[in-house]
Amino acid sequence: MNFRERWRVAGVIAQEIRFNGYLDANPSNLSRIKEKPERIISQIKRGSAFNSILTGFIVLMIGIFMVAFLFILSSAGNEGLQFAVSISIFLGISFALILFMNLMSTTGFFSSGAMILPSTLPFNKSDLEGLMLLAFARIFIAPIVLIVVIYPAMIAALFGLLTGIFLLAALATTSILALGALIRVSGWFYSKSQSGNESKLSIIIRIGAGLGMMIGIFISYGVMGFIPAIVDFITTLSTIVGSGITIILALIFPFSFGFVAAIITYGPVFPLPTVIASTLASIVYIYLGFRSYITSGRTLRSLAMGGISVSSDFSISPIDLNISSKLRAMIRKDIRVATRSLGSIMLLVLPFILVFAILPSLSLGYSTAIRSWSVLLVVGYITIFGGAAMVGLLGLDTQGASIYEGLPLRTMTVLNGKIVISAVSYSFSTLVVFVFLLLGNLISPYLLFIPLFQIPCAYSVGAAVGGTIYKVRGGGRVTAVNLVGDQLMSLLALVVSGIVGLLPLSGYGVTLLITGDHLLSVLVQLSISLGEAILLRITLPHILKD
Amino acid sequence: MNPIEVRELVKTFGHVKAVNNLTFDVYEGEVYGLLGPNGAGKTTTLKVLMGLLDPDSGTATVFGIDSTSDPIEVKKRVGYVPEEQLLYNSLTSREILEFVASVRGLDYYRTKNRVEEMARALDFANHYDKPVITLSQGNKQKAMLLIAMLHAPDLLILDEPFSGLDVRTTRIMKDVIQIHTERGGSVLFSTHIMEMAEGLCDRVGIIDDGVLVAEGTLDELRTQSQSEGATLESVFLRLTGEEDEVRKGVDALKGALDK
Ligand SMILES: Nc1ncnc2c1ncn2[C@@H]1O[C@H](COP(=O)(O)OP(=O)(O)O)[C@@H](O)[C@H]1O
Ligand SMILES: [Mg+2]
Repeated sequence: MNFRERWRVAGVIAQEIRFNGYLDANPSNLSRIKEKPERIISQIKRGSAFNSILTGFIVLMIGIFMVAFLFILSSAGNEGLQFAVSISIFLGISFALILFMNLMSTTGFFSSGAMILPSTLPFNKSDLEGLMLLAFARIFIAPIVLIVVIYPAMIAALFGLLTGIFLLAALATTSILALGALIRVSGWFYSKSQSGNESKLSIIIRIGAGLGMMIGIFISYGVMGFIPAIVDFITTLSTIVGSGITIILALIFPFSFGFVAAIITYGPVFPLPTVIASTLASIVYIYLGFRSYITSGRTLRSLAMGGISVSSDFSISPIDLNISSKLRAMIRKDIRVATRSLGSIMLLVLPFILVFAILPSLSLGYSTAIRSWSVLLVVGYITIFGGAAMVGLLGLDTQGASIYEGLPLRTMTVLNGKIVISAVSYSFSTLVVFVFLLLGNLISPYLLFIPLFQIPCAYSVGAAVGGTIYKVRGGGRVTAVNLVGDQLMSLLALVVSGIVGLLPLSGYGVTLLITGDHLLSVLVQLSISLGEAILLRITLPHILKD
Repeated sequence: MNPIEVRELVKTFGHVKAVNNLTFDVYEGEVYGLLGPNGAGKTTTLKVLMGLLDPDSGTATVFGIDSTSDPIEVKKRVGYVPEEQLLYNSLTSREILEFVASVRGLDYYRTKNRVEEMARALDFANHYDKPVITLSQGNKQKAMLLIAMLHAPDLLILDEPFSGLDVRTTRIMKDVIQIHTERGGSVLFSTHIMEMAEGLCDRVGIIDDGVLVAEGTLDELRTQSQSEGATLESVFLRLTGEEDEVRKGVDALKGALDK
């Protein structure tokens, strides 16, 4: 088979994998797909394009930011080291982004058995491995191409062709290593999350995986604001500890690449041992990338064909069960389900991630006092994404439809369970902002109350989003939607949470513009957010249906 | 007042009349089989009974409770096994039963005993702590049954309870249904596999294109279709007017395979 044919076949397989991932995420589509297959298929295409565009966009933004930063710092001293660190961080971010952004869609790869069909056709083993890797790459191709092509091109234009070419190689290696890690981590997570014996270890592993992902994403998004500080830190460290620190750094991925890039651009700005160390390490990493390319195909085949063997050492314990109150049981169930799927963990921790990602922007003008508008912006952001987290929570029930159908549960009770979880997560986010403001230098002390007085929205946003989706999609009954699959509902959720969440903040803003009085403004904000919560509390039962 | 009373039920989806003026009762202590080909309207009927779908017109009541206006009360009285088995894949049966028992507000000791006994009877104890995704079709169906019967309901509503089951699990399923009615409970189940109904149902209703084409005991149906000693399958084909079609199809198939 020539490459064009392989590419085409891989495309078919990739499509099948996306399809299965989509069904995996929302099994109720199984029945819908029989009715309107074209619509679902186009929805899947749009959904995965959306994902790719998002990843690509974020990488691009970070890339532009980095380049701008590199440009600014070129006047300061010690630019070699700063250049090296910036490039290294960008490589690290690319690695983390490819790994973490795609973790959720890859578990579908292993449960789907999409490779079973091609394996019945007359391909030999190495053809099959190549196909598999190609299919895998095709799923993630768009952001990777963006990363691997655009950034080196920008660098080449600004810092010379040679640096650009080297970065191309470095980024290609990084992408391959990230894909290799992605394959292994998602395979591992899949087997761990499905082996449900509730031993302490598996809980720790699950939470650890979730945390690791959260921290990874947090670093990916949030690091932009911290780059100057990191460069400063390393510069200071190397002047205190001595150049030994740079040798050690030069050996570590992705810093080796960064150092070599700096050497290519600025000449030998480091001591000779550092130059040698980074060059050798870079060669080793490129070789490892090459090896990873080869072994990944094999790993992928064994994972995708046999499915993953889910651990089977279930201890037979006495039959027992733990009965609690309705609300507690629902919350416990939601949390259990959520912590066993990467996609759901993502949505639950999204608000936290965003807080940390956005906080640095508050501190950008840290020398001057923090102004109302920055606070409004940050709280507004969190509120809107609180709505997205709610959609994620509603999505959890797609798997359990058969259980719900027979249970005497009021729609209101189901919704309340979700609201509690989303409200806790939302309140926590606003409290983080509160603490941050407490430490900061505010233009008026009343700014402290903005995040606090927004807390009634923890209820309102969840209630409004949940109520709207139940009404529109389920005719007032419990229904489950998928954030990626059902974009109309996701958009609606964003609009609704935007309106509900931003109304109190606009109340603040408008009052401040008219009167210039901070106290009056926060009071207006509080009354609007309380009013909304009460209004929703009263109307919600009338919208829903059992 | 019968456990189930369906009166002149109509339900349409767009242009499709899924259920068309359906009327039938399920009596106390009987097994009633709702038979019909795929797409006949069986699932739609059962979903209306469970209050999961609103009918266009007509009524469905369970123990005198209207399914549309008070689905919560209906669900308290019924054990329901739906057609699709959408269980939380990543949860274990224990975790799901904990959820169900808590939502239904069941008593701890009685529930524990019930689960213990049923799990032993269904040969399910070994699978109690396994995540649902690792279960076979038959074991999933057992889990569904455990969930549906956890609160010791008087009425079971089972949608295609035999599909995808092996011989042994089918046997267990039939035993469960029989024992349930021996103790005074009632069962309504749907199936498109005619043999399942033979020897199990006290009465059957045959539904085709949303219309009830025949109802009664197996003997009554044989008389009705003038085919003494016939299997339910041939009675069914005759009543739904598909006998000729099937014969033509078989002839065509023979022709095709001969070449
Ligand atoms: N949600 C739905 N939307 C549109 N049509 C439906 C829906 N559910 C069922 N139908 C249609 O109603 C008819 C009866 O379906 P169903 O009750 O599932 O049949 P059965 O269970 O007997 O196989 C079929 O033609 C089916 O396509
Ligand atoms: Mg059906």
